[in-house]
Amino acid sequence: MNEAPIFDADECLMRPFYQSAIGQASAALQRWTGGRVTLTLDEHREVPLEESAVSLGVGADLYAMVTLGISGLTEGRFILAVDDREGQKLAAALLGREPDMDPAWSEVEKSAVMETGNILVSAYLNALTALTGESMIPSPPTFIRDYAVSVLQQAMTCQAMVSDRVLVCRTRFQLDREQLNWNVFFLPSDGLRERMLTAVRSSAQPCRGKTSEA
Amino acid sequence: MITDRKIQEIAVGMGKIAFVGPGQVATTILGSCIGLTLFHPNRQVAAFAHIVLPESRGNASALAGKFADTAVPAMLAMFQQQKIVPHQLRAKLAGGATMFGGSGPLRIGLQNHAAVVERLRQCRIPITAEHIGGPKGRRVTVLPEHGQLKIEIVGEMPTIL
Repeated sequence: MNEAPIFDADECLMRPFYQSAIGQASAALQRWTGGRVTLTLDEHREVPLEESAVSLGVGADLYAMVTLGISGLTEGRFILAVDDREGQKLAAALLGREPDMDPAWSEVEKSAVMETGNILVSAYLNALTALTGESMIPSPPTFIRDYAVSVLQQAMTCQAMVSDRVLVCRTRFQLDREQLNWNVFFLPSDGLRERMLTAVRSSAQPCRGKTSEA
Repeated sequence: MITDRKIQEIAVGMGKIAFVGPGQVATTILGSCIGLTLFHPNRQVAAFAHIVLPESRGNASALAGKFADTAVPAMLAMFQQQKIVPHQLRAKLAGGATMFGGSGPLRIGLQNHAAVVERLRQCRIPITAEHIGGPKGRRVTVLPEHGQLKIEIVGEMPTIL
C-alpha cells in the first residue's frame, strides 16, 4: 500500500469485529474451495474521497467484479474484485477443469465466481447480524467487468453524502498460500457504520496497537 | 517539423476540480459520477470537475467539486481569474452510469446528470456534447487545446466528443 492505514479509536474498536467476520468468511470459503482459498484482513481505514483511487491501489486496472448490496441495497455494498486471469483460474479450479485460454468469461465461470461472492458475503453478513441484532440479507450477486475504481466510486456515494472520507475494509486472498490479486471491499453506509460502532462500543475491549492480519 | 512535446497529465480525484491549459490533459475514471468540462473555444483552457453528488444540502465539504451546486460556481471563479465570463464557455459532460441497477440512491448517476444540466441552464452555458448513462465505467481524458474529451469504455472503441 502507498500509505499507512489510519486508525482512530472507533476504527480500533471495530477491528475485532472485522477479524471475526473475515474468519467466518474464510472458513466458508475454505469449505467451498476444498481448503485452497483463505482470507486475511488487509486493512480497514478511512481514505480521503479525492485520493481513494490511488490509495486503494486499483487505479485504471480492469477487474472482474461481483457486487452484492445489503438489505435493500442502501445499507452498503460488498465488491469482490478479481484480477481477470486469476479469477478464471479459480473458476476453473472450482469447476474441476484446466484454465481456459479464452480471455472472455464464460457464463459458467461467471457463475462460479458469483457463487464465491455469495458465500463470502453471506458469512460476513452473519457476523454483521450477530453484531447488530438486525437481520441482513444480501442482494443477488451481479457480475461486472470494468475499471475497478468506477465501481468503487458508486459504492462510496452512500458515505460521500455526509463525509469527505470513506471507510473501506479490504480483505486479501490466498490460493494454496500464494497471494492473489483479489480483494473484497466492504463499504457500509454511514447509517450502518454508526450502528456497528454503537454495537461494538457496548462490548468494547481495550485496543492494543494495530495488526493487519486476521 | 515534428515537435516531441511532453504533456502533463493531471489525475482528477473524486470531488476535485482541475484547471488545464496547453501542454496539459486532465484524466479520471467515472462511474456514477459526472465529469463536467467547461472550456473556452478559443483560449485552449478547460476546467474539469469530478462531481460525486447532486446537491450539497448544507453539508460542508472542502472539496468544491463534490456537489453539482458547488462545483459550477467554483469552476466559474477559476475562469473569472482568467477574465473569462460564463457566456463564453461551452460544456461537455460524461459519466452518470448506473452500475448496480436498482432504484433510489443507486441511480445517483442520473440525479447527478440532472443537477449538472440544471446548473448549466441557470448559468446559460450550452452543453455541446455529452456521453451519459449506461451500465459501464468510463475513462475520460480532457484535451483543452482541442476542447475535446476522449472517452474509453472497456470493450469498446474510444469516442472523441
